[in-house]
Formats: sequence, C-alpha cells, structure tokens
Amino acid sequence: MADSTIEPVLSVPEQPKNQNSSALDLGSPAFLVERALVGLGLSIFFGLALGMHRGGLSLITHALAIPGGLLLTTCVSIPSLYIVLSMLGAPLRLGLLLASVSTALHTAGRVLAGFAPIAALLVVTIREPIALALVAKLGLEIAGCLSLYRLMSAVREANALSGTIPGSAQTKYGLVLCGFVVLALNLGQMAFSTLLPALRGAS
Amino acid sequence: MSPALTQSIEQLLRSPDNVVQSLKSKDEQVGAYRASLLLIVTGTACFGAVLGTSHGPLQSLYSAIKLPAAVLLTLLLTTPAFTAIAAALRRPLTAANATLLVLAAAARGALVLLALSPVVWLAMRHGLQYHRGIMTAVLCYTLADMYALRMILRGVGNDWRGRFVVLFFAAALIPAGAQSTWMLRPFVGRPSQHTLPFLRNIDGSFTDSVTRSLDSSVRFE
Repeated sequence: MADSTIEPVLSVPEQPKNQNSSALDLGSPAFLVERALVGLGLSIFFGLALGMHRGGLSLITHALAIPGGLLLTTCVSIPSLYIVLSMLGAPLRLGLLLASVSTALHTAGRVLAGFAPIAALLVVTIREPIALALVAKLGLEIAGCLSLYRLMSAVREANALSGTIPGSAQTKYGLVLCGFVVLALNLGQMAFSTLLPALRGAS
Repeated sequence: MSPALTQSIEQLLRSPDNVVQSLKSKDEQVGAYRASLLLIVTGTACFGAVLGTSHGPLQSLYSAIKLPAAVLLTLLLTTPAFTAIAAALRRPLTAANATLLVLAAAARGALVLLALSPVVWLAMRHGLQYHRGIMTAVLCYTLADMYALRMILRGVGNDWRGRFVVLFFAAALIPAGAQSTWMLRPFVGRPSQHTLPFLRNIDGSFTDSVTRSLDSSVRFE
C-alpha cells in the first residue's frame, strides 16, 4: 500500500477566539454557560436513543439520566482538580478552568449526540438487556475519553496562559492531571451506574 | 460510462490521496458524490448477488438489493458520529466534507468487495458450506472496511490524532454495520430453508450469528 499523508487533508483548522490558544475557547460567562448547556442538551439524544429499548417512561428516565450523570460527574470532580492544582501552586485561574469544563461538556454532548442514531439502531433491534448496557457503556466511555482529552488539553493551555510554569512543576501538574483522569472516569462510572437504568439492569 | 466516472474509479483504485485532495474542490464534490454512490451501490450489489448464488437467482436478487441498502443505512447512521469524533479530537470537518470522505471511503471498500466477488462466487460454486459462506462474507467485509478506514485516515491526517479518530470511528462503524446487515438478512440463505423470505425475523444479534457460524464451521470439519 502507498504511504499515507501525515497532514490532515480535509479537516479545517479550528478558529479559536483567543489567538494564544487552540484547545481553550474563551468567551463571556454567558457564552461558556450556553456552550455547556448545549452540550448537556445534545447528550439528551443519546439518552432518548437508549430509552427506545423499552419506550414509554424509559425514554424520559434515560434522557434525563445522561445529562444528569455528566453534570454530577463534573460537579463532584472539578472542584477537587481546582483545589489540588491550586494547593500545588498552579497558576490556573478559575475562569479559565470553567472555560475548559464548558469545552469538555460541549464535546461530550456532541459525541453522544453523534452516537445516538447508532445506539437507537442497536438497542431497538437487539432485544437482550445486555446489549443495552453494552451500547450505553460504549457510548459513554468514548464520549468520556474524548471530553477528558479536551478538558486536559484546555487545562494545560489555561495553566500556561495563567503564568509561567517551571519544568519540575509541569511534571507535578501532569501527574495530577493523570490522577484526575482516573478519578473522573471512576466517578463517571459510579454516577451513571446509579442514575442510568440501562446500567442498573432495570431497563 | 462517462469519462468523469471512469476517472473517479481510476483515482479511487490508484491514488486515494488525489481523491481526498479533490474532495476539497467544490467543483469536484458533486461528481465525487455521484461516483461514490454509484460505486457503493454497484460494488455491494454485485457482492450481495454473489452471496445469494448458493440459493438461486431470487436470493441473489434479494441480496443485491439489500446489501447496498445495509451499507447506505450504516453510512447514514455513522456519519454524525464521525463528524463529532473528528471535532472532539481537533480535526473538525464540515458536514459536506465528512459525508464526502465517508462516501469515498465506502466506495473504495465497495471496490474491494467487487474485486472479491469472483473469488467468493467460485467458492460458492465449489459447494462452500452455509456457515463457512457467512464467515467468508464477514472476512470480506472486514477487508473492505480496512481499506475504507485507511482512506479516512488520509482525510483526517495520519498522525496519532488521525489514528484515534479512525479508531473511535471504527468502534462506532463495526457494530452499526454489523447490525444493519444482520437486520436485512438473509444474504446467503439457509440450505434447509425451502421458502425465500425477503427479510427474516430479528432474533438474536450479529455477534450471536458469527459465534454460531464460527462454531459450526469448525465443528463440521
């Protein structure tokens, strides 16, 4: 087979509002809230798709559980990240962290909405309850990984924007961010296992 | 066959990089849409027809209609996920470019299926058993998918980000494609079945079927 190109050919470059940043999309507080809400709103589509397995009330419970789980995970995990980074002397400002969270929630919602048609096909045509749980897990894990990637990129850039960081501190913050990823994934799993009927085995 | 279509087929076969480059040009996009759709329908219809040969011409006709439908349904369901994954990994594509790239990649996959059709037909003529026929079809789809995904990699960039886009997209594409095809079965037709249904009832899933076929093809050695 011929060698593949390295450069993206079709992808369009992102247009950041801040010229110093690419992952971190800064804007007014209203814009950040709106973007986070759009993300949460989009995630409802994935919940609705999961609810189609049983229909009726299940549509509503699943539709509410997905943004609920995202919000719960964010509310529980983000303060810890901010506290630990601040105590370690990271120059990260709260406003920049909130911008990063807004980006991550938007990403999660968009990915979940993108997976909604596939989820609907799978849960409607495969009747076994295990399929519902697997589809829910697959969608949430992919969305979780991608939104955490966006969050980490944005936090790193926000940290850099907030002030200069010496080399040794960068390693320290890197370790904190890795720990945060593990924490957030586990918290997310716990939150969705509690809130999402598909993962409670009570679809 | 129009010269533009011939050129599109040539490019898809010989220089997928040029195809990806040409998708950027607005003038060539309409031609690329048409050529890709035509190739998807032709390639998968031929492969479907070949799969049905073991059960007669009617099954061939049914499979030739259903396989393109399954592929187009899969593309319809997975393109939004592809766009979202690419954007999340900071390789955003416009909706038109994402659709074109997925269509062109599927067309390349369909050409692979078209190339494999005579081989599968020959195997069917030599009495390839039902379960082995299904396993052969699954292997052919896998090979076609690999070629299609390589083309998508060219579009989003062959670095770690691009590879992750393709990896996550494959995680969405494989179950969606498998289940769409499963819903529209039978394509091969069971030897014990005397009537030929256009569609079979949905019972179990694609993975159950592959596990069963794998088990049977090994057990009846």
